[in-house]
Amino acid sequence: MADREQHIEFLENYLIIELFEKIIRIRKFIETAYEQEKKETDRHLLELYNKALSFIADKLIKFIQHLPTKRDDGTIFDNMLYISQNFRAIENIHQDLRNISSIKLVPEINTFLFDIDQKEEKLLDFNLVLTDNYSFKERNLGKKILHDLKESYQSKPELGSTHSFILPKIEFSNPLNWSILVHEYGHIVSSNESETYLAKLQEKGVELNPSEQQNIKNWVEEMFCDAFAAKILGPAYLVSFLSFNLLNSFDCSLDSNSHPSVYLRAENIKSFLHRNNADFSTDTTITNYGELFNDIMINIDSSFNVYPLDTMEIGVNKTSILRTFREYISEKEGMIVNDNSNNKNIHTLKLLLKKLEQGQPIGTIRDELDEKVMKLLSKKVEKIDENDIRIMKESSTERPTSHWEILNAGWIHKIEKIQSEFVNLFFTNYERDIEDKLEEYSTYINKLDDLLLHSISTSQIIKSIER
Amino acid sequence: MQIKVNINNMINLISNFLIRLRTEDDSDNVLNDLISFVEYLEKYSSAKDDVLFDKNFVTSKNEKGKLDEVINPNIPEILKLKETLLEIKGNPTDNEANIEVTKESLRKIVAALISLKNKPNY
Repeated sequence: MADREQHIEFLENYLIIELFEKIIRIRKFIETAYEQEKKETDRHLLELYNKALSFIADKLIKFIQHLPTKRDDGTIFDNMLYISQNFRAIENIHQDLRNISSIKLVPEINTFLFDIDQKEEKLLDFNLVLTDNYSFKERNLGKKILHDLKESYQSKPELGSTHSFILPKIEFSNPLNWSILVHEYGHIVSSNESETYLAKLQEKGVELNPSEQQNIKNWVEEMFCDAFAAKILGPAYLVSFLSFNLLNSFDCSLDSNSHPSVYLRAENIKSFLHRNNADFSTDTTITNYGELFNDIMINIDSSFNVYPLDTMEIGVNKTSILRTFREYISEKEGMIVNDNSNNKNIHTLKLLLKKLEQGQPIGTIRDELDEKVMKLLSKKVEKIDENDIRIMKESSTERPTSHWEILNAGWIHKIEKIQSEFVNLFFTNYERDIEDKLEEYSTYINKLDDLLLHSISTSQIIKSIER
Repeated sequence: MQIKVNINNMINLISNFLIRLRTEDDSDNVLNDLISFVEYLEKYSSAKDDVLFDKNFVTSKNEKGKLDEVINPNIPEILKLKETLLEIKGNPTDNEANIEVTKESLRKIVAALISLKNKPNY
């Protein structure tokens, strides 16, 4: 019980600090827009938005001061409700960013998307849009325009397909949340997932009416994209996915026609990572924060069950959906996590975490000298052969890091920093001005953004040279 | 006349009441505000008043934010809460226990409203 309360307290604190981070990011977006456009109106609007954001920050600080030391189901319900209401207020302000000039995309985002997989031709026809709504989406614009033309004409032109990724404006410089774009990229590479899956489900004697079939098709595509993102990014995808969804935790148990519940999706991602030996479970010093958030989410659900929410009835039980999906994905070609993105590569994460802690970018890494190399170093010069030289050369050369390495190290570093420093900053010393505290946190957030952006571009430059 | 009540605003108001009951020293003041609010809520949620809860939120099915449907939830907890509050007002002895009962009612109303708001297949 004590563990449960501690875990929930950890999550509440983390989510409140996430809200502070969103406030900082809205300000950063507006300041960037002003720096780029130098429009006086943007400067005036910045003052207005700043006052509104200070108001929200002030409300949050008052709320923090009255957080109960002992949590029961009722107080957990109230806290999560208040957090989600404040997130809604921030989402509304985010939507108001439409009144501000937009900004140029940072080049690293193209680099990031370009490096998701090796099938570059797939990426030649994508487009990235910053949106006023706080949402992440993928949209086939070619299809959409054809649909629009269909309303007025019987014939249609050949347009081909153009994919657009939609990213919330304030995430423009935050690679940690670009991980959700990898899910969206999954929509481009997915092919016939739902038809094949449905056939598999029906082989088991499951009967579905046409509307249920459509729902399941939509859900399976989402689950495929989740598995695809988890394959490339590992636990970093789960932690980013849950960080975003838990800010509105009341929606986590609810299914929609287009998406299965966050519970089902998180369980799918978690089990995919586990089956692929990519869940950090082999090393007790590295925490899988995605899995931890998932466990806490399930714990919170027991509090919400006291005040149950209705959810959608579907003609097949959800465990069957998940179980059949596991079978399906494990047989699918190309959906196995390779050794660079699973538990065998944890030792690199430790080195990268050290570098981040020292304020260094992590676009390159040189593995620590292993026993074999140490032995070679003590060999007499005349006994060294060509193979020995090759091994020594490789061990002394920096190699570019992958998205998996950069984002997992980035997330672990950020959450541990929040725990070790920023919970203390926000949750004590209430006499200190909140704007001062926000300034201090924003210095850290900006520095982390810069380090990660720099890491993404450095690693890509080296990869391009080596190609 | 039809009156539309925005579910999101309603949830937000109740969330604020729940926190005010925790943070404000003068709980009588909060309870009085709450009685006015519940009277308003009761009035507008009773079937005879022809009041509709506005499902005014954007879903994937309704991206233009158009109103899919208006619903009258008649949440029984709203009526119960008013009775509880009036009892407390008439006999304000065990304030702490009364506040706990009030909070429980408010949470149940929020849960009912969230379920309405997120009801799939609309």
